[in-house]
Amino acid sequence: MPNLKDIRIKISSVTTTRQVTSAMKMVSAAKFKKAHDNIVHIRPYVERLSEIILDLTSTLNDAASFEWSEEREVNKLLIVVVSSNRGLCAAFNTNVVKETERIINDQFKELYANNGIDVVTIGKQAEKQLKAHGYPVVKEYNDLHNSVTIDHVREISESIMNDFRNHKYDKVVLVYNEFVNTAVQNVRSEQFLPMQLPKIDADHSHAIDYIIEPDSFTFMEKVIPDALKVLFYRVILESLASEHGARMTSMHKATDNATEMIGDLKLIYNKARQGAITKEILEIVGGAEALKK
Amino acid sequence: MDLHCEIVTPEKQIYNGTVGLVTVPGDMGQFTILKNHAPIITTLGAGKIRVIAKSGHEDFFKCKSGIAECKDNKLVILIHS
Repeated sequence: MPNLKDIRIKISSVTTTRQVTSAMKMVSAAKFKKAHDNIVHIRPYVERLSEIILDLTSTLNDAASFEWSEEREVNKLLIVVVSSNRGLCAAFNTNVVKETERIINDQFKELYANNGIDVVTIGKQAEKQLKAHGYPVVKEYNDLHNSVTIDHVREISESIMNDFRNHKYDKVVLVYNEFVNTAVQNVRSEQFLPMQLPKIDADHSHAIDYIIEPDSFTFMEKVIPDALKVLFYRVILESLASEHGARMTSMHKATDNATEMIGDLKLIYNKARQGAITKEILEIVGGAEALKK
Repeated sequence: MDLHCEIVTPEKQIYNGTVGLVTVPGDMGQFTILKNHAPIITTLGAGKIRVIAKSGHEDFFKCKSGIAECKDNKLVILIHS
């Protein structure tokens, strides 16, 4: 028969844990709401931008190429891994790390053997895990999560884009969690640079005859860098919303589990208490019987 | 058919409505778009976007750089910052 006092202590400790997890759930819910709003706001922008780029690509001739979309032989690859600074968000970070390792070891095995891969991480968790597994993490932007503003994100994307332009890297791949809903996050790897211009199929060739100022080539040269930066910002926002969503779900589960555990413990406690009372009565009755004789 | 104007930044949509006139700071000079404008795509430089709504209400928006696209009486202005 378990000790009553022990069970009581255990119940109170589980109750405290439940308080913590449910508070964390509330905090993530609030943060999630904000992150989700941001995504909702940026979506129309990204849609319009890609529509314009599509309209314009159809007016370009095939020979046109831009420095941002120039396909080069890949001698040096940069992988940008977007994770979170804090844990306790289920498989959120593990998934991006796994995907990164899969890319390195499957797709770019030879490149990795020749030291042709560099990794940049955004968020402490991925940095910690990838460093522990011995991958070359050259830079980390952990302080981004303290202030996610478009200007801050722009600085990061600019420095990555400069590295591409200066031929330091021939290809840049982003690994991040794409937000589907609070319970589902998809790990995605996406080619960031060189930029892939939309493919024009035959039925889009009857495009409208636009007046283009200054001209389509100059226009694209000016717009592509901005488009890339917005794309990068969107990736960060997706990851952020996924992180808070994942944490919210996992903390919700933890709270549920704690509630269930408290129920079980209370049952055991009451059983033990009843047992103790029965035992006491038996002793008294037994004592009284003995006195009668 | 009236001209419909939408102004979007990465953070949010700042204008959406039927308008009478929009003046934008194009890279090659400021110009005004009225309804039934020919399809146009242009880059925007630094300056102010002036919008006069159908109701006659006048609005100004700051712009550092951006793009404007107008087709079929639909004007979309993207402001980068």
